[in-house]
Amino acid sequence: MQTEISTGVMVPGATHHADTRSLDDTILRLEKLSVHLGAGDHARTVVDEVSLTIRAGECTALVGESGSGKSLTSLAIMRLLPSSMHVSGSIVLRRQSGAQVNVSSLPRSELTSIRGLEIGMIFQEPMTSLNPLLTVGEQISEMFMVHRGESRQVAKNHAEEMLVRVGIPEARARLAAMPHELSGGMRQRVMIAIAIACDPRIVIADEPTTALDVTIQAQILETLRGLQERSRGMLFVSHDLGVIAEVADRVHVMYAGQVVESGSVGAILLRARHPYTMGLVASVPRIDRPQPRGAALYSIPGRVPELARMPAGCRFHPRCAHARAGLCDRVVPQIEVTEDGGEVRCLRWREIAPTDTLSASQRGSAL
Amino acid sequence: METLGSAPRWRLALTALLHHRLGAFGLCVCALVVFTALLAPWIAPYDPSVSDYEAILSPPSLTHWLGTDDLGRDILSRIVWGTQVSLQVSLIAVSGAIVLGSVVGMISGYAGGWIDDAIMRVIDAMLAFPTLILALGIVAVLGPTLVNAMIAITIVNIPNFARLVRAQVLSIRHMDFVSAARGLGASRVRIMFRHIWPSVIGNVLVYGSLTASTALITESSLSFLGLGAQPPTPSWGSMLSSGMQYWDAWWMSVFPGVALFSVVLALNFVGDGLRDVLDARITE
Repeated sequence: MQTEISTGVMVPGATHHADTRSLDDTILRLEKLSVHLGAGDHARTVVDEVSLTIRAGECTALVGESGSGKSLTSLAIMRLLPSSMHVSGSIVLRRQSGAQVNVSSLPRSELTSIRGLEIGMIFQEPMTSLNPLLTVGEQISEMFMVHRGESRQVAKNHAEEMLVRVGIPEARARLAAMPHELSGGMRQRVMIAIAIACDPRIVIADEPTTALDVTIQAQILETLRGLQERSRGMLFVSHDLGVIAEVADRVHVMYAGQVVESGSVGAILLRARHPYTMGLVASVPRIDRPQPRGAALYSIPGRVPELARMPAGCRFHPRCAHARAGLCDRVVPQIEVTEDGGEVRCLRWREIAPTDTLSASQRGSAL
Repeated sequence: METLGSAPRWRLALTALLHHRLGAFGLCVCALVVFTALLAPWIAPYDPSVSDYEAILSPPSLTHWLGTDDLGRDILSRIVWGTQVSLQVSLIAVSGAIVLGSVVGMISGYAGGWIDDAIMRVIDAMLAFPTLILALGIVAVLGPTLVNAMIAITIVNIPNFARLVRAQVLSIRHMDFVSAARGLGASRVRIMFRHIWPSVIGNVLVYGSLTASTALITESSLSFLGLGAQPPTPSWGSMLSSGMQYWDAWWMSVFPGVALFSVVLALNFVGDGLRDVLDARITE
């Protein structure tokens, strides 16, 4: 695995692709961001050279199964990884002042000027991410008091405005509510209010709707989409392609710590090239293309490999229907650029027909 | 700092405590002690340090309800004035221990690493001594006055609070809301005292009220040995001590003993009550 990293060179085309777009609206750029666990002989790479860009007004999504490294990537950006992990590569942030900084090498004392102020984060569990012993008002106004030095009263008024903005009725009364008095959806709205309180240009949302039921999920997604009208970039982490389809502009699919495919949301959902992405898309039940009665919903066989036992060659080959012995289990695939501007990490992607993913994987179903 | 929403929370806990039978009883006794201490000059029938040479070692009577001691001083008046000493010890010395112990424990638990190790070894060393022996040693060094006895009581109780708070912080610091606060730009000091402290304070208060009772006993022990409140300051401990020499005059030691016993018991009731009340709020 270690050798693979050292030889893992980005294909020139990949960076070329990034250059063709306007660089002006780039707020955050990850360049070969890797997260390593442990040190010495026992070191494991849990996130392997992830490169992505977050632009103003755009929502970039990270998709993958549990353990694919998507959450670690977002925590690495916030420098919230546990001390047993360390990061290599760079996290280039364009601050609101226009200056560029590398977050991964920033001294700890300067992190408070990034967190909450430049990058806001919405956490997965609204139940546990709010302090159970502080009122909602205290937790929101704290952002204004800490980052803007506002007085308690002014901050409280701003907190009320934030509650209104995220769609909480009776905002003034709700300020005095304790987190346990609110429903899950309300709590997630409060989390969103806290995350965007100081108007950060980037919002990282780590599975913000996973803990919520479906109707609330739709409302929260609506709220999140509303945030993007302002010149704000979003990094949306989720395992749910349905949710991704709703909010994302660009999608990066992660598998076993690597980005295996990226592209526009339309390209990923309709013309997936990587067998893993195809499998992911095919695993989503679709109301417009019903399963034949009694047929099982497609699922990708096998499971994500363990860190210590990463397969040789392509990390996905043991689960891949297209894997070819002697090739996929030997050669480590590199990122290659597709004609429509996407990226794919597969040795055989040109041979695998880029047909409509759904019909390809559900051959024989009612079309 | 904690004004916005904490006032109703406190009121809630207090209301619950008043509905807890033993807790309410203990709270009443404590309130009585506080009033007695504040109003001592008006309540006490005699000056506690003036001798009535006509009535030395007189048993309880209508003029001296609880009798007089070997110098002819009114026992009741001395017990009433003694509440001031008790109050100072249980309030000031224990508050000092709570504040210092909590800060030490908070830093130790949150910082971790060598800071934690260093602090905890010192705490372990202090805990290795029996409380009274350590207090004796400190008073011996500083000199036998009531203030020094209080300082000693503060110091000997720091380790317990430090350990208690550290253990709590260790379990809370990895909770999601703490990482969330970190991710949203809160500084370390802010996380410790704004986000973690509210979760710790409940247990600290319970333990504090129990410590207040042991602190009272420690003070009495020191005074009993002549290392606490100095004559003529009336302290329950020194009253017990002087009563010991007059075995026939049972009233000299029994009544201060009863006073001490009741207050210690009351403080324990409050502690138990607080624990039940705060526990109930956690499990609900």
